[in-house]
Amino acid sequence: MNRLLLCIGCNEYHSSNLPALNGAIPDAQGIYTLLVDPQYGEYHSTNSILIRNPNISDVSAALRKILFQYGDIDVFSLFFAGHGVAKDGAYYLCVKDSEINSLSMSALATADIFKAINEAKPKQSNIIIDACESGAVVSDIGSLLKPEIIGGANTPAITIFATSASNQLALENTSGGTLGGVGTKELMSYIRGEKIVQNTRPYLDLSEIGRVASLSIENNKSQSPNVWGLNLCGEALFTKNLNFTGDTLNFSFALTKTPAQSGIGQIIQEKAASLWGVYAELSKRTDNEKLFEVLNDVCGKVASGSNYASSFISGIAPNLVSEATKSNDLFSANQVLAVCISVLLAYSEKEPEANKVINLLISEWLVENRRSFTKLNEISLATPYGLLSESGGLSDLYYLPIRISKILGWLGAHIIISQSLGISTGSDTIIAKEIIDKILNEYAPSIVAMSDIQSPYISLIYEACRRLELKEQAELHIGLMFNSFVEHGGKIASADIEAKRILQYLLCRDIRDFSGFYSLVANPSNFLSTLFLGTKTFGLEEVVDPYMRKLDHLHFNLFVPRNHRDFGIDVIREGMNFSFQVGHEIFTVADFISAYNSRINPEIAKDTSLNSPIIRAACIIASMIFPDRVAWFSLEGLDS
Amino acid sequence: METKRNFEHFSTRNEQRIFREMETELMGELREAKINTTLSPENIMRYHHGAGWHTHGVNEDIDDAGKFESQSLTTEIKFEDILNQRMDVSAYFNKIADHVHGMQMRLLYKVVGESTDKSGNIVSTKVEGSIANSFLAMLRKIEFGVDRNGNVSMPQIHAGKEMSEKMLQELQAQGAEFQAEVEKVKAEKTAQALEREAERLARFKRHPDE
Repeated sequence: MNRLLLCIGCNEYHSSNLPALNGAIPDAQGIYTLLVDPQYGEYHSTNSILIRNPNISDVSAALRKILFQYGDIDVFSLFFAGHGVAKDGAYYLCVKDSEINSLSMSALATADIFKAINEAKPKQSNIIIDACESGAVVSDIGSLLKPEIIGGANTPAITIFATSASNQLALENTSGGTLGGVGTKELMSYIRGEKIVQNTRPYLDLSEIGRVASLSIENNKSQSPNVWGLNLCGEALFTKNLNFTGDTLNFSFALTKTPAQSGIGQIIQEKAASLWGVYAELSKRTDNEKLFEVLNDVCGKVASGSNYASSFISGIAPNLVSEATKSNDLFSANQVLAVCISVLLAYSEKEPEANKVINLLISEWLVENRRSFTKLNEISLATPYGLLSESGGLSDLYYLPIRISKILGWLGAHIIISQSLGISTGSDTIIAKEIIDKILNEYAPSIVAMSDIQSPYISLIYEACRRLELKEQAELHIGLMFNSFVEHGGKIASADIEAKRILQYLLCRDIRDFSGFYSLVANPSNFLSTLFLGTKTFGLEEVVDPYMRKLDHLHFNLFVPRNHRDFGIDVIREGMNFSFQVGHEIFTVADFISAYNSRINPEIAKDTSLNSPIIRAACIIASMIFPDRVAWFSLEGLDS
Repeated sequence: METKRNFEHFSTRNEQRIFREMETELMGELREAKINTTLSPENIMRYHHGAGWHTHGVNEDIDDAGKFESQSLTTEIKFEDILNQRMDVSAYFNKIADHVHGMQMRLLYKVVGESTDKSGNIVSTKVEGSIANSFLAMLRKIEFGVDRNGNVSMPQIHAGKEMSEKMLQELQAQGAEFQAEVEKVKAEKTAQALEREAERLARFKRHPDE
């Protein structure tokens, strides 16, 4: 594998506007030494280049040599330590003879680096900049996204790691007798394995290092780093992961080993623009359906026994997660991982390695969940009205109850999946209980039956409550939900209601009259099935049965797919809807449970795909992303 | 010479995309309004997934489950009609809605037909000898329903225009004896329906406040 490294360190400057630095050369030297070491970076020790205090002509010559003289490059990494200057919307890396008033002629513009990379077409590129004002490099993202630079020029993978924000000076750390940037020190500690990024994959992606390093540096309040990048060619191979605990032979690196110019590479390259498009949106908002559509489009075209879809998802997921983490949404990264898992679920039969990748993604999903639930518990739930949206206004009448159900559902899924996969849930259990109690105490009036999409979430929180022995909390939740369901005649919103019709739904709900608007109502609903199953789980039949007549004629449904590997598909075509109607053979909860046990359970049992705990977990996660389906198989407390 | 390209002229692509979405929405509303004249909107169910549905208490076996059928319709709008402003817009939408409604009704009759063929719940004019006798036989065979408000609902008769007129003429031409028999059967069937409904409601557990 052709892995090349160019390290540039510049302490000395001719210009009086660029003061001398102390740490740039030691940083460049340190990174170079680590990355050419076969124990760490495995970069080519002869062809890789380290230059100290260069002039601009030295840098150009070095770039030309490394990018164009050694044939096809698998991984190219560029490290720069020195002064960086943002000027007129461009960003320049300054070297010894750079002049502030003629940067375009005397410094290295990041845009020129990208052009050179696009021309040389290494399969994977990493750019690390540890410099004053280096965070301004993100201002170049707009120009990077232009199709003529990205899509048209075949850049299959590029990641940028910049360790300080615009108008900030990169701090030089003098501790320990070595001078150098805080960001670089942090980076080296991950390369050496002193700090853990993850332990599930044999190589580290620069974007995932950047994300974890960002959190660490941000916590030190010294520098705020930026990292972004998108890898379309399989697993990233920036550096070895010394904390990896598995067996490298378990990974085929199917896409990573495939030439970018191959048929598969071309198919992915054709989708580059749309992939960059959804990537760029992630820091602003999470559009699960759009992300699913774009990823699934690629996977559908490349999935085969050669594991290309698995390798593609495995490679792109860390980038998507890193970008999503920049969003204000506490659950954005978790949702991105859930989308990746849902996409791959459909190919888990076709691709032998899909289960392995799904398993890795689930592990990362659990880690993200822990992070999110801790923040939710410590910040959002400690703030009055913390779960309401700042600008939502009236619309939160509809969205807040659903948001609460989602939080509880994700929490439930986290507990169930952790337990099912044999992962310790000690501290999770404590946080889960605190969150459930706080929500029940502070948000009880908004624990109401509003939409059929609450169904998968409440089914999972009931199952989690059963496992955690939180009977009292579950009973209270069921009571609140059942009361509001009965109060509104069971007329909850349909799972596919359009956002523009929600106000109309609320108006009809308010006056209890849906004449002319019955299509807004879920008929049949999953919701009532879920409530009945919860009722049975917690032995509340005697409480619920006397209210059944108030639900007379209501239709409810359970959909069971023929193959649960389809659970991540938008519309599942193969499978059976089991429909019921209150007052028609269903007069008590027991009537329904009897039918459930005789009809639904045997149907679920037919699907052998559910023998795999990974598939079960992936299905539960898919129902979090596509809440018009419920993972009925996950409810295990019905026989107790 | 420049090759032929699909130029746009002061592009209104976004506005026209929204317009097309509204077209689909309007067609949906018209179709729904028409189907609501035949079926109560509260009894129309919408499924998101699957190849069919199994109704507890109706289909005993999963093999008896209903199967979803897809319907499609192709329409044509001529450039010249647009250019000449010759489109009757409301007629265009109504025609499509009628067509879709027609397809749905044909499917409904097909399903009802299959069900009655299976159960043997069929009345034949050839066997009964006349339309009037067939009508009485039909009333005797059928069970009346009770709606959500406790009112007994009379059966509906769906027939083409010609057949409807013929039926009406023959039924009106019958004597008092026939009318009395019809009323008697209706009263019996109504009483049976109410009795069944009372039995059904008695199966619910009573609330302590009741």
